[in-house]
Amino acid sequence: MASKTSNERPKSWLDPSLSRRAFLKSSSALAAVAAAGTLFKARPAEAVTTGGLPPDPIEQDADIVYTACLQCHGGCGIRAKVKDGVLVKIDGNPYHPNAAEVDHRLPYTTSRADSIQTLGSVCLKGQAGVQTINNPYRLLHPLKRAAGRGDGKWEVISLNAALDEVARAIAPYFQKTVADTSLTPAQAAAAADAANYIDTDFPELGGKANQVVFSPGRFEHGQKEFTDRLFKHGFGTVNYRHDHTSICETSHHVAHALMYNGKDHLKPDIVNAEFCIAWGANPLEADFPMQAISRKFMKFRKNGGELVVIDPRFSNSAAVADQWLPVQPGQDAALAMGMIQSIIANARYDAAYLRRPHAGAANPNSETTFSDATYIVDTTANNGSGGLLLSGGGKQQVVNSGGTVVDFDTVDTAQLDPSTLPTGQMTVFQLLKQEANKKTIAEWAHIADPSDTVITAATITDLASRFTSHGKRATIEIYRGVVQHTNGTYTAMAILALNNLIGNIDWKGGMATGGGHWHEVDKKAAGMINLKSDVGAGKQSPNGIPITRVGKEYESDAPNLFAADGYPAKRPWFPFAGFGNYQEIIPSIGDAYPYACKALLTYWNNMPYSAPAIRDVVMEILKDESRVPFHVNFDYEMGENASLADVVIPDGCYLERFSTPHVAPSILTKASGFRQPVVGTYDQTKKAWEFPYSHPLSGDIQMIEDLMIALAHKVEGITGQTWPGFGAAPFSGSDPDTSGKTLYNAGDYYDLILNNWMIESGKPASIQEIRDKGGVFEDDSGAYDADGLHVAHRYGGQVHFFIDYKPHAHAYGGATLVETRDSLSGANHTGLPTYVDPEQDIAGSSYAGEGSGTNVFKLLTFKPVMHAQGRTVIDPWLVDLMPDPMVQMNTADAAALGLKSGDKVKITSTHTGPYSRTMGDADDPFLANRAHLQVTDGIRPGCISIPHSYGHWQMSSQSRQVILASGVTQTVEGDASRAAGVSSSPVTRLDTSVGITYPAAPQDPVGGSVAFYDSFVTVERL
Amino acid sequence: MAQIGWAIDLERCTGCQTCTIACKSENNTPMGTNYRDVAFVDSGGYPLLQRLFVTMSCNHCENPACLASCPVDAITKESTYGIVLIDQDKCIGCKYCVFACPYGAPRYNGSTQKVEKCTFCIHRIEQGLFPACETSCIGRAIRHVVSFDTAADSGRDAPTGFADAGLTHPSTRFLHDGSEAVQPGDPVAAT
Repeated sequence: MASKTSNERPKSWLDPSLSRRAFLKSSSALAAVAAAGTLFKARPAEAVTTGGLPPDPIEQDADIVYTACLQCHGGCGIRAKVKDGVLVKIDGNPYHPNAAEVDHRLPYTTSRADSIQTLGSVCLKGQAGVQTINNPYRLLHPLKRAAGRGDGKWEVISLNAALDEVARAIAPYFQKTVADTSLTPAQAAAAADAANYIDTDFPELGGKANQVVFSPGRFEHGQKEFTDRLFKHGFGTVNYRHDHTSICETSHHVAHALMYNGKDHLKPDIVNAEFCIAWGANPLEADFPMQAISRKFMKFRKNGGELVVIDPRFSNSAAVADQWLPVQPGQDAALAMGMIQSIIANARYDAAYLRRPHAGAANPNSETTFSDATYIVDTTANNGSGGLLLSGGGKQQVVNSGGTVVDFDTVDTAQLDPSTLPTGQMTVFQLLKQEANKKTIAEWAHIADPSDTVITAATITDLASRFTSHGKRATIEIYRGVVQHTNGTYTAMAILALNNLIGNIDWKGGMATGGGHWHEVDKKAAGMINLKSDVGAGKQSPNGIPITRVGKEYESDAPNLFAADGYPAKRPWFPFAGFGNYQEIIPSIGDAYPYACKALLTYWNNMPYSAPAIRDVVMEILKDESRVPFHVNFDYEMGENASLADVVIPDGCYLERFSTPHVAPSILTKASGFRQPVVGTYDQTKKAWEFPYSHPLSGDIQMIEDLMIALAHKVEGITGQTWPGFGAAPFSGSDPDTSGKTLYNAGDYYDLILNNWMIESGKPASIQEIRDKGGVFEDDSGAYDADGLHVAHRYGGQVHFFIDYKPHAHAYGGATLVETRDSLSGANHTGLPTYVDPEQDIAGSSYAGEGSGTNVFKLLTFKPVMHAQGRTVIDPWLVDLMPDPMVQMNTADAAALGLKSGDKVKITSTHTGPYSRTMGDADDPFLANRAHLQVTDGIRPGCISIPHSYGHWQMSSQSRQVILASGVTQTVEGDASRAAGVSSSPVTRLDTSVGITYPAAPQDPVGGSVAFYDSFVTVERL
Repeated sequence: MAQIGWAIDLERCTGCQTCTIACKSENNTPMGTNYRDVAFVDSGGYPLLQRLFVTMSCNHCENPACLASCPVDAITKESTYGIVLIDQDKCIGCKYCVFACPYGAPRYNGSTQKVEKCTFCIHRIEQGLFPACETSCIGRAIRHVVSFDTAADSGRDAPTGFADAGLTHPSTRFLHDGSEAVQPGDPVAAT
């Protein structure tokens, strides 16, 4: 077939005639901005825009700050080159495992002076950080709205005045906590703290302090633990941190946590693997840490490793794969179930592994884990809702090789598929087999690919055979593609079951839990300090229902509410969403369910842009002062959320902050990165409310930790009560290691963290060494066990197929999954990996009918390699690599509709109802005429895909009016390059099956993930 | 004369374009003027699509067409490493080199009205450091070769579409046979 270039802007070298024309055109909007004098680097604008500048001088030791990136969540160590107080270049920290491979990384004992000639790598997003810090539109001073919310008119106020506004808004709810949420309404009304209840008719809701909601979008370790300390233990709200994870990939964590006893993230030891399925994951573009994963995947390929990519879109990862399987979106579990059936039918599972029922069993094969595959389930128990593990005297039961039912811990091996069990009893393995055998492999294949072309029964059996042909050295890398669906948790469990069937966890070349990190806030050894919960006099222990109902079961945790409303609940509850539920925050506030919000504090959080489907819902609620009486946003840019706040307080970018980023399990050694400011000076002798950070551009840019302490200090002044957790006596005093320790500012806090690391790791000689090297890192020699078979940092626990136990972390502690009821149907959740149709709302009604029609498409989105989250649109270098983001459509579909690349289109949700909308047409208030097509062979027919990060309507793309302190009104002109393209979110399907006034985003009722990929839209030429 | 050159391992290129941005950051090039770029070459069709990533910049040819085309002798082949450089003080912006180069390497800067291109990061090479693109390449596809054997390796194993190496003898070879001819961390030549 004919060769062609895939990029709309021809990339020269292989076709010089095209290149000359292309590069002579100075076409992009960015070029226009550059000509207008925008600063892309902190240099004289003229010099930058006229080019011809020589490179900056080569860096010396004194020019380098080792810190950590945050352009995506990878946490890569970086080295910032700072000349004359200006950040001019970013490279990789050669000590950091993300930034250098085994043969290249410096041992931690290498002196800093000896590190200067060795550079690690950092990806294009990380490189573009110099444009993030030097962003000419960044917020430098606090703003108070000078007109209605969202009207784009602001008044500059002082930092003290801004914090006063916040203090006044939250002070009335300060420490309004209650002793007992389990009282009856009558008891609560008679209690001494009756006035503190939100509503004594519903004591379970907790105290009025819960009506203050803190929602940071992206929050880093160090910051998280600090604000938990202040808001949870100091202020007393149960809503102390609602962050973004459910729009990312939370059901992936929840599925792991359920199957691996709270261990919520595993990744392949890819460099030693022989086979890998990247399933709904894009390691070369979007997975994290992208650069480390990319490097390791290319090494895996070089080693001869076989890669299969399952993704409806042809990603860069697919481009380097042996096989691309464009599955029907959301039907991944059908493919997994077909594979499970094939593996079991052909006995290609690791029987010796699966038959091992407990950690103490004989272990001829050096396994580090064992599974519940042989455990007997009484399927008649639990009201017939999936059964419960059969218990004999408190112990699980198995069938021994003689056919006798015995305690699980009395035998070395047990039967997987016994024929001797009575009716109503089956082993977990038999239940899994039964689940996978509900349809034939051909039927599963047809669900996974209704066109019967790319995935057939033969494809499934072949894939199952190849996956099981490498012993323990076969792996599956899953990420958000498989879990950001209404069926996300169960789909992930079905895929993880494949790993479990070959027992690859902890094996070299198998699945690994990663090296992890040293503890920043836990006391793990003498001399360390518990910074998380060792809080001085007045420590609060908030209770009650989080506003998003995460970690709580409706019926048992809210008995009075349940008695009033029954099933279905007015909005869904998420007992297993251990990582929060971002998309429910604002609609719940809008519905005042289960209670009203009195003050909303957001930090680096762009809800109207980032939460799919509910843009107009979120905007309407955030504009409504009766539903959101006060809203302060701490942010670095005038994002879509900031634009709707009452007060905006400037935040430093990630290069001007402290924090302690961890790394993903792709890294097999321990790593504790330290993020620290690369510009400005921090005066630790100043108390937080004296504003310790001197930023080169504005004294109003302070660390979030310091802003929170300053806020607490002000609330103390208003209420006359102590806000515990900071100051002269921040600790309880019960731990002698805290003696004499004060906590007046962020610097004090991070010194204590670094001290914790120094003690626990035993590596650095001083906390200064940690600053000098950008963290503490285990050397690569710590990656693998001396036995040559396993990774050194292991899971080492039980692998669960059937979730009738209480995972120890990140999950609901009240009951097991099988014993927990769905808040809408009242039915018990299934405990097994299972296939769930994705095209249904959370109440269980199918909307598959919305998918019929000639111009109807499944709506997808993806993260192209040059972008991470929505924030990287502020970096012109990155935008210039894709200045015209397009809606991708398959060649055959476009031909059938008479559409071609470049056509402007409008995209309409096929779900009708309030807040459903059309995007890109002339009536679109934000994104009119911005959607145009790219016709490609790189997407499954019947789908369209839209790159994320684009489609902003704020982010300084529009002008804003600012009244300066002098009284003069200044207009800040917007940058049109930030208004490129559209995103999938505005036309994602709303879930109108729940809600009082406001509908919900489509979501997974178990893990809490929002569903990005289960919507239908029509596409028409404008 | 010594000749420095490139060995590009196409089996390691991830298509991420980090090289493009690392170069911009190091060399302070203006928007729209990139010394290094990545080509995306598709073949086949759905569902058997194939895509090749090819990173390329100036090849610092043994017989540079740009140098030959320059009417004011602004382009020179520097003697220590054989790096082709454009003297910005002499360049008159006529763009002859842009049209002469079979690889499209020279880039016209509309602001200075002169032509710029890859310098092999000679300022870094002279300090014993690697070029910015090589340092940053996350797939480790880009390697410099201290002593490039133009006679044997010019254009070797180049992908389809790479201009005939016989024209200018580019100091670039490709690797896509699973070989590891160039190991990471090869030192830069001592001067």
